Amino acid sequence: MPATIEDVTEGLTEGAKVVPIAGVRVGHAGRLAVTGACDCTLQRLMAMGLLPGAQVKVIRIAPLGDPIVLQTSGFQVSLRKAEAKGLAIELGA
Amino acid sequence: MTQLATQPVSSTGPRAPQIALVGNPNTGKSALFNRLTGARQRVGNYPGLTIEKKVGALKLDAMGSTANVIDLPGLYSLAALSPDERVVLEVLLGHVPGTRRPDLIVCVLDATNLRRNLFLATQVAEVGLPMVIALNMWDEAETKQLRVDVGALSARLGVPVVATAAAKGQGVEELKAAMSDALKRQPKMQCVAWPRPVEDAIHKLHKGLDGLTNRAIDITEAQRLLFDMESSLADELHLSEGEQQPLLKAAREEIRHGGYDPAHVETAVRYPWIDNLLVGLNEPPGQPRRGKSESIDDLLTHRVFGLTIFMAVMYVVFQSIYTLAGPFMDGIEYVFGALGETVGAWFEGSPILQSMMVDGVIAGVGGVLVFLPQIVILFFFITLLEDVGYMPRAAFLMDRLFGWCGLSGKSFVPMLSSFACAVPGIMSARTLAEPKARLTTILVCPLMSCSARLPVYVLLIGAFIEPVYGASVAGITLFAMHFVGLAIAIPVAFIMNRLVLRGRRTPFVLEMPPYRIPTMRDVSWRVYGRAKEFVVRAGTIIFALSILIWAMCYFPRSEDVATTTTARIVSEVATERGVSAEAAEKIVFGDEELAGTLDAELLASPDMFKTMMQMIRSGRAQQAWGDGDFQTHIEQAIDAAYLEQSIMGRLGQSVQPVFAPAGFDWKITVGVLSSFPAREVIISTLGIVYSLGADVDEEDSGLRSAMEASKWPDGKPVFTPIVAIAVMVFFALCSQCAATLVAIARESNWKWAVFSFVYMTVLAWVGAVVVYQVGTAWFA
Repeated sequence: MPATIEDVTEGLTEGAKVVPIAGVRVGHAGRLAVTGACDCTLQRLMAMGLLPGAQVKVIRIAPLGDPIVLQTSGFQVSLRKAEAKGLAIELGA
Repeated sequence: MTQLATQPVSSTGPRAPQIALVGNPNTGKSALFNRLTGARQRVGNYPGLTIEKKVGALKLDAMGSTANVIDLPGLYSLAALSPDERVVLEVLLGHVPGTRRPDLIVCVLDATNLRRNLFLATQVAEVGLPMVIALNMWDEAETKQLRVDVGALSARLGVPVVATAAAKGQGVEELKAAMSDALKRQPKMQCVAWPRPVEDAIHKLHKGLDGLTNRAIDITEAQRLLFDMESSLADELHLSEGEQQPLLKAAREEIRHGGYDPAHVETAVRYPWIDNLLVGLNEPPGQPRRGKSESIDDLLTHRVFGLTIFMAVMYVVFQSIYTLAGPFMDGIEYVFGALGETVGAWFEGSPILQSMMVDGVIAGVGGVLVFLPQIVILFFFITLLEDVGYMPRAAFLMDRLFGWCGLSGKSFVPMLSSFACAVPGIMSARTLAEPKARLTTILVCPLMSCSARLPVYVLLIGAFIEPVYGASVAGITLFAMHFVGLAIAIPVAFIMNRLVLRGRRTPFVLEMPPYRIPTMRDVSWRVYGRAKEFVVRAGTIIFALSILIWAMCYFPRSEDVATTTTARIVSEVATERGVSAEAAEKIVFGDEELAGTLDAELLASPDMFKTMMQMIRSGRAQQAWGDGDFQTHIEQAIDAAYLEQSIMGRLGQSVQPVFAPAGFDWKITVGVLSSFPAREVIISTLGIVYSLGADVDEEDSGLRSAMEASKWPDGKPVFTPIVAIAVMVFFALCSQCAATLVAIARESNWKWAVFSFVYMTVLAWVGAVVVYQVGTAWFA
């Protein structure tokens, strides 16, 4: 079972709204938070420089609802919602 | 071992140094490779792997000293999730048979994205080989006003750094000079300083694994096993879960005790190290501004316009391979046809040599080259779309549609191309980075209804569907035949992915690079490389198979067959015309005067005239003795008898019971078997078995009427509309195409080619049997 939002405590800004990445709407931005187990998808993202705490923005959702495109400093990366279920965004942080 | 045993003897000359290009995807690494090696490159495969191995020769200086350059697959991290990524570390450590360990690494970094690109460089540095850094995309960095202090970067890293713009050829000479110099000076890049507990854990794990693996492992490999939560390296090293888990657990526990999260420790150490290194050297990229790429993306990934443009692009690609390639393919067929006639005339005296040269060798070479127009056109478009940066967008748009059944958004291009021809389609599956999705795509591509199936459909629909049910039903049938393969492909992909293909799934983490203007130079190099690889690697095997099938249709060939067939025709003529054997022989061998007299007598007799008219109406007259050209008729009858007696003919007759539940007679079975090299061959095979010669096409009325007249021994017609549909379904699903199987073997391995042949043949047989049995029961 992936961790729920309530389980997340580590290093979050007080009062920020944590939304699983699949639920973030286009144009919303914030700090990247890790809420699930560290699997290969997450390690790959981290290797690409998307570290927890990095500023990211959901800039696109595919016409069929999945995958999504994240914008981070310097580049954009596309992910499947199901594979990014361990990721959340602290909106407004 | 002595020094002599490991070093080549000096008489063969000093061995050329080996240089490897490493870098992230989309850094212009291939463009740099093309600039360095030019025409002196070749594409191959790593042994046992499905990965493209690109090597080339580089002229280092005016003195004529050369080096071998390997272009390694692009990757973000040495944490190998796919075989493509694993091969990089294996090559760098010298573990790949047939590929020498590099003497120098050229790390290609994207100057516009330095921080991320340096992550891989820090990993590569730990392998301990001399390194030069090419700071590519320098022109783009300048346009974006990103400043990098090259001199200071070089000083801090401890290796030469050269700014390049490979697509424009800038900085390439300087890079060559730096490479030449580095081969002498052996500069090594500064390594990341690991915290004490991490360092200890790596060494302990390395020691602990000693003796458990199938070969000695490197410290870098121990590090990878420790850091990566899902590593494909463990499979490669034949490490069992039971053996490695306790060791890994202990090592990770040690890291945790040191205050680090084992899953995050690598990035948590490397990135701060990189950030520290870049302080004052690299203006940190500010808040990303909306550039041109974003505006283009707004259009190209739009839910209406994006999908419309995608469809339009795919339509252009498909139409080009389907239509544009046509004249070139016709041209190739014409040239080889003419060549066959010319060469055939030289060997008039020796029938075996003549047939081998014309039907075997020339037809075989033509059968290979005929694929080239489609391959070149498809790869031109694919390379163009890749270099522009459209491919990741297409994958993004289509991923949902294909992802659920184990395919990927990128499967669209191979599958669509396969409607023209599966060979370029399968080759284009290389664009898929995920190995499991790539293999699934390769396995379903041959189910798409390619253009070679069209003649079979046209022949059977024209002969058995259209005359009975009319043109609209004929049209629907043709459409349905094209749809059958696609409809079957989706459940097949799903089942393959769940049950047949093992191995790790690769996450869909796809970078959306900025749009770039491609250079024709790079596009044409890559198209040339792929076309050449097809002709050299796949072509030779396809050619060998064509010769084999020719031989099976030709041998054994005894003169008795000709004598018996002639005698049979003479006696047939004698009976049918009611004349003596001598008179019949005269008719048969062209005594026209006598033939005329007899024909006049014949027409005078009312009964005989009636029979003649009936035969003409039923279409048998042409087959039997319609136009009076007995010489041609005898030759064609002899050819039919030869085929019946050949290995292929006998095989067809003995295999026929297997196809009996689908309503196939031995003639159809021979057609099916002999069309193994290519589906469309069935038309000319049927031409031969029905004694009409090989030069028939799918519109041939003689072939159609001969098939209509074809009867089982009990007098029932062989071909009914149901049988025609059963044959078409069989051809829609079977893998009767040697070139496709060779392409599958080249892109994966022979095991999968055999698997494809078996599963598709079983599918085709089941399909044909179901159609025939259900159809017969329904109409009975």
